[in-house]
Amino acid sequence: MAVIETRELRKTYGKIEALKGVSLKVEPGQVYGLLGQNGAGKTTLIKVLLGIVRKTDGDATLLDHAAGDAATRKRVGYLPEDHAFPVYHTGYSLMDFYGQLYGVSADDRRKRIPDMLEQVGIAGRMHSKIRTYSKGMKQRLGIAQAMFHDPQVIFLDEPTDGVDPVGRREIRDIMQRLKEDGKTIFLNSHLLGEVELICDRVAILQRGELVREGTVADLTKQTGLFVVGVAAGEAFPADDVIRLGYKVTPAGLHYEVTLPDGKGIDPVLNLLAEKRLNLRHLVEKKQSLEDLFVSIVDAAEPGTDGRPARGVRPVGGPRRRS
Amino acid sequence: MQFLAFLKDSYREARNGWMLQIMLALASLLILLVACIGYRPITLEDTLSQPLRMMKWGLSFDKQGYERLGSPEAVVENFVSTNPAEPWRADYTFDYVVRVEKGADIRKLQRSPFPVGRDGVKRFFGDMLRETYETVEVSGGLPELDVKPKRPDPDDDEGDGDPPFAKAKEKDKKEKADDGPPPPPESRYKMTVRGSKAEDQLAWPHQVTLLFAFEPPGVMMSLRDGVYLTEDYLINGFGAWILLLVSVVITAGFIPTMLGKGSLDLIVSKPIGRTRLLVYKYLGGLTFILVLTAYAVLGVWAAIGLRSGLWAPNFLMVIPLLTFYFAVLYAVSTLAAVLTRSTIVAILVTAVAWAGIWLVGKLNNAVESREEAVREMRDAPPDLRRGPQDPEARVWFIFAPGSWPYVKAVHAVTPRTYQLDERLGRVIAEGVLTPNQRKALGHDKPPRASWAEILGVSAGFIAVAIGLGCWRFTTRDY
Repeated sequence: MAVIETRELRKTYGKIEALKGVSLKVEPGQVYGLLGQNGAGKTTLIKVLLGIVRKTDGDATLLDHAAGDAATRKRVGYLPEDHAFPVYHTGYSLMDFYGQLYGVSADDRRKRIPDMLEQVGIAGRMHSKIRTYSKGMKQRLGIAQAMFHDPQVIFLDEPTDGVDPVGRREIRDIMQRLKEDGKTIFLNSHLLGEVELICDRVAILQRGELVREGTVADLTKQTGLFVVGVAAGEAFPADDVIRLGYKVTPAGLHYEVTLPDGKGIDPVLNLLAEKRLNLRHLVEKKQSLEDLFVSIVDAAEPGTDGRPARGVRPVGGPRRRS
Repeated sequence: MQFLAFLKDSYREARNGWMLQIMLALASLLILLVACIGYRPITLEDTLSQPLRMMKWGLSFDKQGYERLGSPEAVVENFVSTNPAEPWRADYTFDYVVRVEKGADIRKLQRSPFPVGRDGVKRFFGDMLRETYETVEVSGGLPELDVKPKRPDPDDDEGDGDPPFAKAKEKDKKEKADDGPPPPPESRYKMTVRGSKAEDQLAWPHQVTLLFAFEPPGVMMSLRDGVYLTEDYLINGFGAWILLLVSVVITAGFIPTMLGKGSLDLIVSKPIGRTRLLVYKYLGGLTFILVLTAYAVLGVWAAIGLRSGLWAPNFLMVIPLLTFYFAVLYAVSTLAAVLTRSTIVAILVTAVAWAGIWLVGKLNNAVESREEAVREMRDAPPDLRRGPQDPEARVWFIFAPGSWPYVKAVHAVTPRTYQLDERLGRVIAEGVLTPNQRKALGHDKPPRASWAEILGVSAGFIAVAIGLGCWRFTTRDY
């Protein structure tokens, strides 16, 4: 049973298509990362799932109920991006207010609020007005309110936004604990390093379309790219390597050699040996999530250096030639 | 639990903006103001001393004439009450004393309008006390001067602009010889006043006191009148207007704040439907005002009761009815807030709607009055004082009879705040005033709309406004 499932989900705001047929599935206990540029449709997807905005077409279910069902939200926690807590509350009173809305008993609220605020590191200021909190403290409070009622699914939209590096690590630890407790986490973040560290599966949205989806390992798997360098004063025989059928790209003092299908790096090494060149650098390059993300973004929106768009095929979409 | 959570949230929001404190301070000020108004039952001595002082003050305008009459002084002395603790139940005896410089001046006084001579004194006090006492008896003092019929004196018609004593001066010499020997310069009349007509203390005139001690001269009224004026004009009129205005301002921000960017996502992602969310927010604001109104009205009621002894429970009807009045305004504010998400717009729209609704009620009232007058003219001979009613005359110089059905149609679907106000005035009057007093206010005529109609139409309007707000809130993407 999927905790979150969307099929051909569409959402339009007037003429703007925010979601163009997004289909994804999140299994229980997964930490699912959703990546994308600003305006890609990440927040809209969460809002549709929570019933904050209505879908235009397609299906979306959350915990086996149609998205937007008020009763289902009792089992869901949510930290919105750019949230604005009512400033007339203290951290404690806000948690108390939301706890009441979730139906947490008065006794439980009294016991659990200090614990929860302790976990996120703001217990010492829990009776101060929120207006006196820093951005990072508000973010921590937001995380606390999202997990206070022990939800099954937690949506975190940029949870480390405005938080210092130490705080980010603490938040990552909290997410790790939640994951260990079997909670399902749906994470929107621009911090790809974090996503890579914690997420089981990742999806990349580009202009409302899901262009990549899979486990982190799948998406960052080896792509047959080697960085090769020879001794100083020796010239790398790029033309000869290209003649062998490899793609060669200069990369500083070294060269990136892309393997064609069915070939290994050995013919290149043999060539260097034949030419009596001294091999000094040979590294198999691994793609990071950031590389993948940037390559997708670059493909869709080339920069100002005149690089051509390479085009990105949506997940499940027709194969296109670049 | 969720409703209580919203109630508490609204309370926090209002307290945060200092509006709650301001409202409580205003309500406390109002209670204090009412508590400062006291009522001291006046004695007969108070009743009499004032006109005698006025008389002396009037004479002082013609100093020469006053001196020529022997500088007359009229005072009341030796007051004895049969029930000093309850002056409204007492009979009185007292001396009415007229003093002049010489005995001959008494004769001059007897020819003037000055109350001297047993019959004149009896008439003077009888006129003054007719409404509050059954009998006024006079004994002692001088009898009336037996004035012999004389030829008309042409001087009598001259000098109309002069004070009365100027004419008396010329006549003195001619008439002196007819009056016999002069009486003593002091004339003392034994007065007995019996049979208070006041049913109870409430009907007895009271001197109004302000700030516990200051007695503004001449501000005397029965307790009933004093309490009615305080309850209906000061509280139900001025006080209620201020309370409603401040309440509209306080509560107008509740919903726009909730719908603000960053706040809305947090609240609508909670396990509560949007309709329920908006209704709870509305009821939260309403309950908040109910509590404030209850505080103000109960405080004022207690202050009036403690200061006057008149505990009129009808006045407490101000609490639910004023809250209901506010419910109409807050429904408009809520709808405007959902549509625009702006506090300022919500306040302005509510103010305009408030004025508009009141005007429709007032206009409808004028139209109904005109229709009634025209009907009466057809059924009965015309009232000569008012003159014949013109059936084609416009109401407020604008609304010709042809437009009246439209006025009534608009009124039929408009909340009845005007009629609610009018009925609340009647309820307050019923708790304080006597039937005769209410009749004098025109309350003997049946009201034009029943409670069911007033409350039903207004509640219907609230339901429609809140329903529209809920519809918009639930169908809108934020």
